Amino acid sequence: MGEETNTNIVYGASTQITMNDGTTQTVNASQGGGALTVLASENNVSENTILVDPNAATTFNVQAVNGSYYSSGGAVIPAITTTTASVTSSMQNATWHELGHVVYQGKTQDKVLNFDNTTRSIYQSTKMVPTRAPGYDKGASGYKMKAYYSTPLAPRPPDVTHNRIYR
Amino acid sequence: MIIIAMLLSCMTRAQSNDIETNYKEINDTLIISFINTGNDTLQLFSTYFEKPYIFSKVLHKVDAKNKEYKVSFLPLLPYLSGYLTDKLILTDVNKITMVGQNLYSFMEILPKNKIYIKLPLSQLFGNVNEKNNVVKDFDNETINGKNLKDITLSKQKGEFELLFEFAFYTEVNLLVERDLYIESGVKTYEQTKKYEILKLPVTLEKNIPLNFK
Repeated sequence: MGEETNTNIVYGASTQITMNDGTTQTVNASQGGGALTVLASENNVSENTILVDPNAATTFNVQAVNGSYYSSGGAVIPAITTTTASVTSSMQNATWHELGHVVYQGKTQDKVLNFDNTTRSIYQSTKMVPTRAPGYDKGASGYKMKAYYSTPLAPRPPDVTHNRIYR
Repeated sequence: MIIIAMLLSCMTRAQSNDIETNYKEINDTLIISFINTGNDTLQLFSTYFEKPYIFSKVLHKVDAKNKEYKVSFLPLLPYLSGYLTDKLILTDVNKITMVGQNLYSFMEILPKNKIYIKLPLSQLFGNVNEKNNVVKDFDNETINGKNLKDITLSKQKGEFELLFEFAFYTEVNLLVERDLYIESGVKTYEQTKKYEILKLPVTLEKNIPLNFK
């Protein structure tokens, strides 16, 4: 990775970014659809910042791109070069996605999605749920903890700002 | 002081359908008023009135054939959106031509109402002494990463008329809300193009040499 710049990860709805000239700027996670990244390499700041809103919606729409998008050189024309696609995410997935923007800064942003999708396929959240054994009342010692695993998230398609020509 | 300044300032008018326009120049500021003389609410496209956009040379378009120097506040459609991408550019002036970094914003003008905008001339013409401080006139709908490289203007001679260009929409509901913008697809795309252009010829008292270096 070779990244030497500090990356701050903030969980919340907003945070303040200190610019190199000493001024501050408030950014809201909603600006990026629930999570965002401000890179030092692209902004007048000394550290990278990732902001993830834990309460952001976990399902949202993107403008997915198709082959015509690439052959047109990146023209965004709904129903011709783009279609609306629904994406499911999570707080953990959003964190990985934003880290992808740090790892693949300056590169085509399809790499961010490849990274994101890899974490989607291997990530399985474990949830311990109390399960009542037959013959025992609620609260009795007969409760056992059972592990459940969530289904991996479906892959996210390339969209207008995460594709093989967009940097 | 203000009254004297107003008397000394240049006053002209431009008319475009339901919009009447006046301007005056007070010190470093160009104040432009827009009067909605019609019966429908109008929306003045206003994204580029603020920093960092106001510093962009892309707003300065020269039509060499018609000898026009246009300060164009028309929307650069391929680079505007109803939502931002999650990798934010905060203050870089070049974000004006980056996809996913620029939101549509508008100033509402109710029927029979008037609004003002104030443009700081030293910021708007801040690049006047720099090289390549203006660009060739281009189509705001078809500009893209490839033809953006071809808009460098060679040095020009002669007199040029100074024009300011503004865009007025009547419907913007699909352009200012993330989900609606994405979900409405073709309707959104059509709405982005439905604007009228107002051209305002301006004569500045302040001596700004319109150099094309």
